[in-house]
Amino acid sequence: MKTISQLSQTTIRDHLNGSGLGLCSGPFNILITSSLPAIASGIQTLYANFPYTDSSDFFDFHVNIDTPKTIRRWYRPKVYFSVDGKRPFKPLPKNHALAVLEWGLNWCIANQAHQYLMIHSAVVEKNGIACILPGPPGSGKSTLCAALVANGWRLFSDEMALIEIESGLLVPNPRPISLKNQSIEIIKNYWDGATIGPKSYGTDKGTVAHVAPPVASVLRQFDKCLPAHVVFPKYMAESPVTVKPLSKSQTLIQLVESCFNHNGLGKTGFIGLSDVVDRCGCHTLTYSRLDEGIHAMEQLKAPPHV
Amino acid sequence: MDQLSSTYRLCPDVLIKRWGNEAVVFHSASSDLYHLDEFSTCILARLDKQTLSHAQLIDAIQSHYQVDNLDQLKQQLTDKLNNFIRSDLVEIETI
Repeated sequence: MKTISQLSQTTIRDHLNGSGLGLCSGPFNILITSSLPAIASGIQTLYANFPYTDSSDFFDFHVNIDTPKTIRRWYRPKVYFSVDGKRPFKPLPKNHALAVLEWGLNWCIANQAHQYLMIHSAVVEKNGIACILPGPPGSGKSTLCAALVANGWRLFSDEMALIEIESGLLVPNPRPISLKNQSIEIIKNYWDGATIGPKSYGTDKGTVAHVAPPVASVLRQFDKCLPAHVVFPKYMAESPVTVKPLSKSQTLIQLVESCFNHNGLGKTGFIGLSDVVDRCGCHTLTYSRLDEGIHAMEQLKAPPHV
Repeated sequence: MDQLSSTYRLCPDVLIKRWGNEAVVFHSASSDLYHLDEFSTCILARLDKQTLSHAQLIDAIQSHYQVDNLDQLKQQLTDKLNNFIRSDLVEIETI
């Protein structure tokens, strides 16, 4: 399969400006159009290892990110994200374009991929042990996720767990890892060889940058896996690393709260999340040093089903 | 409400997931979620299996907890059942 890295930036721009660039991201085919050079260079940097598809293929999402054809194109320029011809968000500053693309793709999946249970969490896997790491913003979920991936864990997702409802299998969707504020420098110093995209300053979330997923994770983006652990990470400055068991019922309550489509799926969603809790070890992880957090994650043993 | 001539059952919209002495209940019609304490789990777990009268519930719970103060247990059970009924978790059937 041909990858984005085999395309020149001119070719990428031509596709984006023309019939679109087809990106194969885990279970989703995405057709992207844009006239913005920042999108072309961002895709070349962050999606280099991803397969691309012909623009005549079937696509789950047709997305466009562009400046409006009005005076706003020149005065405090903004960008619109649109999916299937609709604009779900207000326009955002043009220099946030790459971040807007990532947020927009997250929105597309969270709002449309209801064939999966979707939990707001990072997901990583090593030696067949897949861990779901739910966490609200500020919990250190993405930083820990990036550090784990730097240490050879396979990235399933930095943003959401996709779980097949029938089989309970986790479905990889290893898109770029979103880092915010101090985490950007922390991971830059921690992960030798990390490919980090341009920073978007002054977003609602502060400064944002994305890390490209490693080629090994992208090559295995169709390899599903049963979850083995649910770990709720929490960064706490100066805290020693602690891993504590969390009751199954507490875990289920927190997973329901983190699930994007639990209400929509009704009983099916509740049963699916209950199955996840049944088969997983459930823990909280408090850490301040990344190496200690990673060491604690490496100690998690496989539950009986794995 | 005449408790002696009534039976109680779990509402059909309710799913209960139990681990040991604790449980989570999901009411699919409202999407409400409840984290149950041990006493509530004990009651709903029994109603999840079958429809029971107030007296049958008292017997089952008394034998589970080995309670001496029966009057207090009856009152606690009545209070809980009323809460469950208000929350649409339990239905009452009058014979």
